[in-house]
Amino acid sequence: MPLFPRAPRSPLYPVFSRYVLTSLFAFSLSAALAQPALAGVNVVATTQDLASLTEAVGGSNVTVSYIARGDLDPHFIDAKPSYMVKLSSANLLIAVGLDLEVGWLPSLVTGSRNPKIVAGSLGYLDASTAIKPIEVPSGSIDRSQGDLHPGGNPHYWMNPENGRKVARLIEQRLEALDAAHAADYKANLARFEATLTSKEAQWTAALAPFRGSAVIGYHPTFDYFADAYGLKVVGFVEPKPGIPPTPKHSLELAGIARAEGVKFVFVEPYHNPEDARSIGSNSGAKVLSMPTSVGGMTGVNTYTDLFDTLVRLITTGK
Amino acid sequence: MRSFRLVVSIVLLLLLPRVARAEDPAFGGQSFPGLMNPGISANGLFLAGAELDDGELAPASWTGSSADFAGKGETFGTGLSVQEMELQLTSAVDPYFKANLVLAIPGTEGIEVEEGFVTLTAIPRILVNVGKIKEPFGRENLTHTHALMTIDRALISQRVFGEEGLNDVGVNAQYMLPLPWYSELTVGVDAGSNDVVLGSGEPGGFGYLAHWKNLVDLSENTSAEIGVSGLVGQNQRGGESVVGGVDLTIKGHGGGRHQWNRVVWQSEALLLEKPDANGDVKQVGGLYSTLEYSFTRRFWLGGRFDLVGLPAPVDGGRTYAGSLVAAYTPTEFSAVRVQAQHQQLPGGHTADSIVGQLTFSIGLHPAHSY
Repeated sequence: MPLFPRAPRSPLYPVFSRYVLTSLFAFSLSAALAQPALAGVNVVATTQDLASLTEAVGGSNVTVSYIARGDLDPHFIDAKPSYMVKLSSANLLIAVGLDLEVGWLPSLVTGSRNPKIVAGSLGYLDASTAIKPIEVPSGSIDRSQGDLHPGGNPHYWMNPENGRKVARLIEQRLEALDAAHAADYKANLARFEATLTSKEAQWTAALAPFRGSAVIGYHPTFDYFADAYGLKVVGFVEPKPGIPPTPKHSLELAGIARAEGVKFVFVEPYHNPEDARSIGSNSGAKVLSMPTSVGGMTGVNTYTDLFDTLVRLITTGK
Repeated sequence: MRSFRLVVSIVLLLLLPRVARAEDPAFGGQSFPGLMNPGISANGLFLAGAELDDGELAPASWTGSSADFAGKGETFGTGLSVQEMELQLTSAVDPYFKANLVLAIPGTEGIEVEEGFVTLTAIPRILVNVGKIKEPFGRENLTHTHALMTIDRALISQRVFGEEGLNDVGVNAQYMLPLPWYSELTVGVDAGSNDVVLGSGEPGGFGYLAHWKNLVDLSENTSAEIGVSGLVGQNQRGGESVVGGVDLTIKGHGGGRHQWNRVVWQSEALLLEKPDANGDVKQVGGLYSTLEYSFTRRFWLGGRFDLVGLPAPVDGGRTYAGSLVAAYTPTEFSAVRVQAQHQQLPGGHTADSIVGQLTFSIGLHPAHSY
C-alpha cells in the first residue's frame, strides 16, 4: 500500500491545500525578510523597577522594555503572546526571581522561542541573586498558609540598598554581554550609585521621625521598605499572603492597630483602599495608597522617583 | 497536498541533527536527584447536577437509534459525579527538550494519557512538539477541561471532534513569524485517529493540520486574537475529511485597582465536510460565542451561545443552546461554578440542566493561561 494513498476528497480540499497553505508559507517568508534589527543590547525586564535600573546602568547602549506595568500586581500578569514577541529578540532577560513571576514568566520564555534567555544562560539574569531575602519560610510549608514564596519575600526592590546591589549585578552582566562598552557601564553605575547615596541620606533624614512607628501593610510588599527605614509592620490586610481580606480579619486587625498605635495602613495601587478603610476608621490609622513600583503612580518614572514619592506620602500623610 | 507533505518532510529532516544532540552522554548523571524531579500538579473536578428533558431527544425524522442521536451535548445527568481528575508532570529533559505528561481519570475509573509530549525549544522562533498532544486547532481545543469558561465544551466542538477534542499522536512545528505583533504559524501531522473526523485505521491515514494565530494589542490592557485553522485527512470510509475553523477572542482588563475587572469575548466557528456511507459529502458546522466578566478578584459571570447546523441543518434540524455560568474563586487554586443550560434540539425537543462544579489544583504553581 502506498504511504499516501489517493482517495475521494471533500470539495473544500483543493481550497485548503492550494490557496490557504500556499498563502501562509508565502506570507511567513516575506515577513521574515521584513523584520528590522534592534541596536545595542536588547534587554527585557519583568518589572518597571528592573527596567529603570537597567536604563540607569545601560544608558544609550541598551534598549530596555518591560513586561509588568508598575500599577499591576506582579504576581498576576497575563502571559500575553505579545510579550513573547518582545522576548523573542531579547539578548538579556532580567527577572525579579524568588517565584514572583512563577505564574507567567516560564510560559512566556518557552513561547518566545529564544534559547538565549532561558534560565542558566548568559542572557538570563535572576536579580534576586544579588540580595539577601527576608522572610524565608522555615519548617513545613503548604498553601494552607497562603501563597508563600519558598525562597523568601520577593519585593526586595523596596529597599534602595537592594536596588544598588541589583544595579551592580546588572552592570556585571551587561559587561559580559557587551565588553566593548564596559567603561560606559561602569561610569553609568558610578553615577547612579552617587545619586542613590545622596538620595538615601535625604530619605533617611525625612523618615527619621517615623522610626519605630507601627504600620500595617496590605500584602508583605512594604516589608523591605519598613526594614530599611525602621518601621514596624504589625499586620496585613490580607489574612494570609495572597488571600483576599475578610470582614472578620479586618475587625481583628483594627484591634491590633488600636493596641499598637498604628500610624499608617499601606495599600498597593492594585489593591482597593476601601478594603482597609474599616481598619483605619476603627483605629485612627491613616490609609495611604502607595506605589510599589516605578510606574505605580503618576510621576513615578525612575527608581529614585519611587522612594521620593513614598517618603513624600508618609511625611505629608497624603 | 503534495507540496504540504514536502514541507512537513523538510521540517522533520532539518530537525534530525538537533534531536541527535540531545543524546549526548555528557548530560548524564545527577548529584541532587530530588532537585531533578519533575514539577507535579494535580487537579480534580467534582459535579452535582440535575437534568430535565422531554424524554425524546431525536427529531421525528431521525431514522437511527435514539441512542446514536448526537444532537444533544454533554449535560452530565442528575446526581453526583467526578468529571475528571488529572495528574500533570512537567520538566526540562535537557537543554533542548521540555516534557509534559498529563494523565487523566475521566470519572473515577481508568487512566488515560490525555497528553504526553516533548517540546524541542532549542531552535530560535520554532517550537516542535512530538507525542500525544491537544492539537492547536482554534482556541477551545487547546484548553484543558478545568480551564474552560463553561463546565462543558461547546456543542459544535463536541460534534466535530468528539468529547475528547482533537487530541492525537503526532508532531507539529509552531513558527513565530518575525512581525511586530504575535503571529504564529503551526503545521502538523497526526496519526489520524480522531474517531469523528478521521479514524481511517490505516497506517498511512494521517491527518494534516495548519493553524495561523495572530494576537494584536489594541491598547495596553486590551488585545484581540484572530485564528484560522484547517485539518485534512483520510477517514474511515476511505475518503478525505476536511475541517475548517476561525476564531476571534477579545480580552481586556482595567488598570491599577481595577486589574481584576476583566472581560473576555471568545467566538469560534467550525465546519466539517466528510463523505457519508453513500459517498455524499455531509457538512456539520456551527459556532459558539462566550462572554465573561469578572466583577472582583473572586466573582465572575459568563454566558455561552451555541448553534449547530450551519450552513445547513444537521440531523433533521438545528440545535441552539444558551448557558449561564457564575463562579466564585477563593484563590487561583480553587473555584466553585454553577452552570444553567437550555438546549433547543431539532424537532422541538429540549434539554435543560443545572450543574455545580468544584475544582481544585495542588502542587506546582500553575501557569496562568491567556
